Amino acid sequence: MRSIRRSSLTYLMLLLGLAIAGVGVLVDRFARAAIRAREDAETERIEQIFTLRWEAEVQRRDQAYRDRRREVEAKFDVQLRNEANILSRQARSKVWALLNPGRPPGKDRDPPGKERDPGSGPVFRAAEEDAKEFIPPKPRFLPPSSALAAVGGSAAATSASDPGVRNTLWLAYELPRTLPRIQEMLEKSYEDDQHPEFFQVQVVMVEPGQPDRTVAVVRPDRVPEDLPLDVAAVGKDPNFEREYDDIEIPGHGSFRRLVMPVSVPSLYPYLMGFRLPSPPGLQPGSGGWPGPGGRLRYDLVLRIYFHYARPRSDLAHQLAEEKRSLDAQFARREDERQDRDAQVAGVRAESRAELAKLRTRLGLIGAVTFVALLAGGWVVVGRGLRPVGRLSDAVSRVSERDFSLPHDGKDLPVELAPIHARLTQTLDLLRRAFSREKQAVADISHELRTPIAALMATLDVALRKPRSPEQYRATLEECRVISAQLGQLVERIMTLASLDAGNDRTLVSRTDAAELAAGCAAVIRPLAAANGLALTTRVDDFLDLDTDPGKLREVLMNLLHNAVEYNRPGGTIELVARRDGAAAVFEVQDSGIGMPAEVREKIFERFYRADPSRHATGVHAGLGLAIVKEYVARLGGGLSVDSAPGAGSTFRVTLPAAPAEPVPDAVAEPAAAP
Amino acid sequence: MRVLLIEDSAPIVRAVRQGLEEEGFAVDVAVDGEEGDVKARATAYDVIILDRMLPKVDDGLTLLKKWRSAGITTHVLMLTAKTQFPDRVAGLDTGADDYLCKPFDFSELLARVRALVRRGHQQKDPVLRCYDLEIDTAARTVRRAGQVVHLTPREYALLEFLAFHRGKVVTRSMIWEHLYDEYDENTSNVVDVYIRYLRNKIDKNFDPPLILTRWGEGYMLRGDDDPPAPKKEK
Repeated sequence: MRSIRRSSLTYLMLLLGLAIAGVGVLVDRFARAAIRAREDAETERIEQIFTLRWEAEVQRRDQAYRDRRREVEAKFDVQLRNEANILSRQARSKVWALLNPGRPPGKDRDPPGKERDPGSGPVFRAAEEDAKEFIPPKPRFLPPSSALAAVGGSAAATSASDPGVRNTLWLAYELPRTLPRIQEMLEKSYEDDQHPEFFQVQVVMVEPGQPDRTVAVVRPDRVPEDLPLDVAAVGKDPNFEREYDDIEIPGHGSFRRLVMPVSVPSLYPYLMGFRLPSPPGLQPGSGGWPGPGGRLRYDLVLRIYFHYARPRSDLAHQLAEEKRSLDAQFARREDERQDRDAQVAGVRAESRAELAKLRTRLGLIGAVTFVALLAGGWVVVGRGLRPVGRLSDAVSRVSERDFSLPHDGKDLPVELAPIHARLTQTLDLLRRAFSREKQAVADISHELRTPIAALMATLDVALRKPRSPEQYRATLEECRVISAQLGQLVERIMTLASLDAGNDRTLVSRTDAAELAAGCAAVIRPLAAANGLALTTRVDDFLDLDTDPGKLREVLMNLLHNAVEYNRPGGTIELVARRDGAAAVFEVQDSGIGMPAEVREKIFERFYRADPSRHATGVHAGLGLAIVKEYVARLGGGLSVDSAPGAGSTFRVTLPAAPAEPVPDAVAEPAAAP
Repeated sequence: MRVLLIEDSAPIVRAVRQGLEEEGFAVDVAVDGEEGDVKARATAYDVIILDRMLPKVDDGLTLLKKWRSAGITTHVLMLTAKTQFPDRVAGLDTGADDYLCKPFDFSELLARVRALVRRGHQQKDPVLRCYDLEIDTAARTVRRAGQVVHLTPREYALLEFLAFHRGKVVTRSMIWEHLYDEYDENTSNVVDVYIRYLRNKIDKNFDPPLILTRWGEGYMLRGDDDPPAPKKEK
C-alpha cells in the first residue's frame, strides 16, 4: 500500500541525497583541486630547493674539479720540475765533467748550482773518466799558425803572438771538430743509463754572429726522435728559466714536458780540456771574450737545455683518481635526490591521505545529515500529514447510520479544507439520499404490507372454519381485488425503480394529442361516472407532438385518476389539450378539495398522500404523481400545479409541440384501446 | 369480549371483523382516527386493535398517547405495517400493550387479543375453572365434570365473561356492553335468554348450579367464597 508519508519522504530524500551528493562532489572537487595545487606547489618547492642545491653542488663540484685539476697539474708540474731538477743536475754534472775533466763541479767556483748531490758522485766520476778518455788532458797538438791564420784571417795573422787572438783562431779551427766529440761523449756518458724517464739533453751553441744551433742531443732510445725546441726563441729570452708544454711523442702518446736550461759556464776556458789563457784584463770567470776594440766578447757559449717529459696519462690517471674521489664525495647527493623523491612521495601520500580523510568526512557528514534529515523528514512529514490522519480518522468514523463527519474542519489546513467541505457536502447528500432511500423502502414495505396483511387476514379467516361455496367465492373475490391492488402497486414501484435505474427507454413518435386525450378520457369516464363526476375534454385540433405516447398517456391517466380520487362528489373534471405557441399544454382540472401550498410542494414526493383517508379507495399509494413527475422529466416537459384549498387543482404538463402540420392524414380515432 | 378495530384498510377490516366475530368477539370498527377516538372514549372495550397509520390523525401513536394521558386504560394492540425495531419500541413505550406487525397471522392476532383479555382480568391460566367447570379459552371448549359442553359463540362468550368475573355480580348492561357490538339490537331480554341457554347446557344435569342470579342486579358465576348449599336443588 503507498504511503504519502513514505513516498514524499522518499522523494524528499532522493532530492536531498542528490543535493548532498552534488555538494559533496563539488566540495570534493574543490578540495581535491586545492589539495592538488598545494601538493604541486610543495613538490615544486622541493624540486626547486633540490635543483638549486643541486646546481650549487654541481657548480661546486665543477669548481672543485677545476681546482683539483689545477692543483694536480701544478703538483704534476712541480713533480716534473723536481724530477727534472735531479736529472738536470746529473746532466750538468756529466756535461761539466765532459767539458772540464778533472775538475769536479763542486771544486769549481764558477759553475752555477752550488748545491751538490752526494748521490751523484759516481756519475760524475764516471763522466770524469769518460772525459779523461775522450778529452786528452792536454791539447795533443797545437794548431799551426797557418791554420789559425786561415781561420782568424788577417787579424790572426797580425796577432798570432797575442794569446787571445791565437785562441780565437784556435777556436775557429778546433770548434767544428770538437762539437761532434761533445755529442759523442754525451752519448757515451748516457748510454749505460737505463733511465725510465723521457728526457733529452740538448746542447746549444751560441756563437756570435751565428744563429743558435743545437750541437748535441742525447735522449733515451725510447724517444724515437728529438724533442723539438725552438732554440732561437728560447735563446732570446735572457731570463728563461723553464717552460712547460705538451708534446706528442710518436709511439708514446701525449706528454707533459719541462724544458729547463742547465747552467754551465762559458765554454771558453775549458773547451776541450784547454784552459785557455784569459785575455789580458779579463778576469777569469767574467765570461767574455775580448772583443774588437778591447771589449770583452762572450760570443761562444754552450747552453744546455734539459727536456723532461712525463706521459700525460699519469696526469689523466691522477685526475681520474681525483674525480673519482670527488664523485664519491658527491655521490651522497644522489641520496639527496632520493631524499627529495621521498619527500615528494611523502607530500603526495600526505595529500592523498588528506583527500581520503576529507572524503571520509564528507561521506560521514553526508550520511549523518541524511540520517538526520530522514528522521527529521519523517517527523516533519508526519506532522504535516497529521491533519490528513485526523480527517481520515473522522472519515473512518462515518457510519452508514450516521453520515455526519465527526470533524468540524476548523483546524484543517487550507489544502484539506476543500476536501472536508466536499466530503461533508457529499456525506450530506448521501445521508439525504440514504434517508430518502430508507424512507422509500419503509414506505414500499409499508405499502406492500398492508395489502398482504389484508390478503392473509382474509384467507386466514376464511380458512378457520368450513364455509359455504358462496362464502368461499366471496373470499376469493376479495382476495383477487386485493391482489390486483397489490399488483398495481408493485407495478408502480417497479416503474419508479426502473426510472431510477435509468433502464427506461423513451420511444418517441409523432403523436396526435387529440387522439391521446380522447383515449384517456374514454378510459376514465366510466370511473368518473361511478364517482358521480363529469368529465369533459377540450382539445385543439391539429396538435401534434413528438413524444413517447405511452408515457404521455400514463401521465394523463395518473392525473385523471388523481382528479377522480381527490374530487368531491358531483364535481367536474376537465381535460384540456391546447397549443400555446410552440408548446403543447395538457391540463387536468378538477373541482376537488384542492390543497394548500405546503402540500403542493410535497405531492410529487413518493408515497406522499395529501389525504391518507383516501387510502381505502386508492391504489396509487402516493406514487402516481411521483411517476408523473419522472415521466414528464423524461419527456423533457414542464409540470406545474395550480391549487388552493377548496378551489380544485389544475395540473399542467407542458411539452414541446411538433411544428404545425395541418395535414392529419388519419382521422382521430374516437377511443384508445384500454 | 368487545373489541374496537381501528383500521383504514377495508379488506383487513372485513377479514378481521369476520374472524373475531366468529370467535365470539363483539367487534366495533372505526376506519379513521377521529371515529376511533370517539368510540374508544365512549365505550370500555376489552381490547382496541389500533392501526398505526391512520387517516385524519397524525398517527395512531398520537391517539394512543392522548388516551393514556386521558386515563383510558384499555388494552391496546398495535397492528401496523411499521415493523422496524424503533417503531415497535416507540409503540410499546407510548403505552401499547402489544405490538403486532403486518402481515400477521390471524391466529396470532386472536391469541394476542385473548391474552390481553386475560391480562385485563388478572388471569394467567388460559383455562378458567369453576368447580368442575373448565373453560379453555384458547381452544374455546367447555367441560363440565369432564364432559364436553357444546356452546354457541354467544353462549361461550357469555360464559367466558361470567367466568372472568367469577364471584362477582355481572349486570346485564355489563354483559351488553361487552358482548354486543354497536350494531346489535338492544332487546332487553336477550341476555336473560342466553343465560337460560347457558344454564340448560351447563347447570341442568350438573350439581351444583354455577350460574347464579342476583335479583335486581344480574348474574354471577359461583365463586369460591360462595359455596353451594348442599342439596339445595336438584
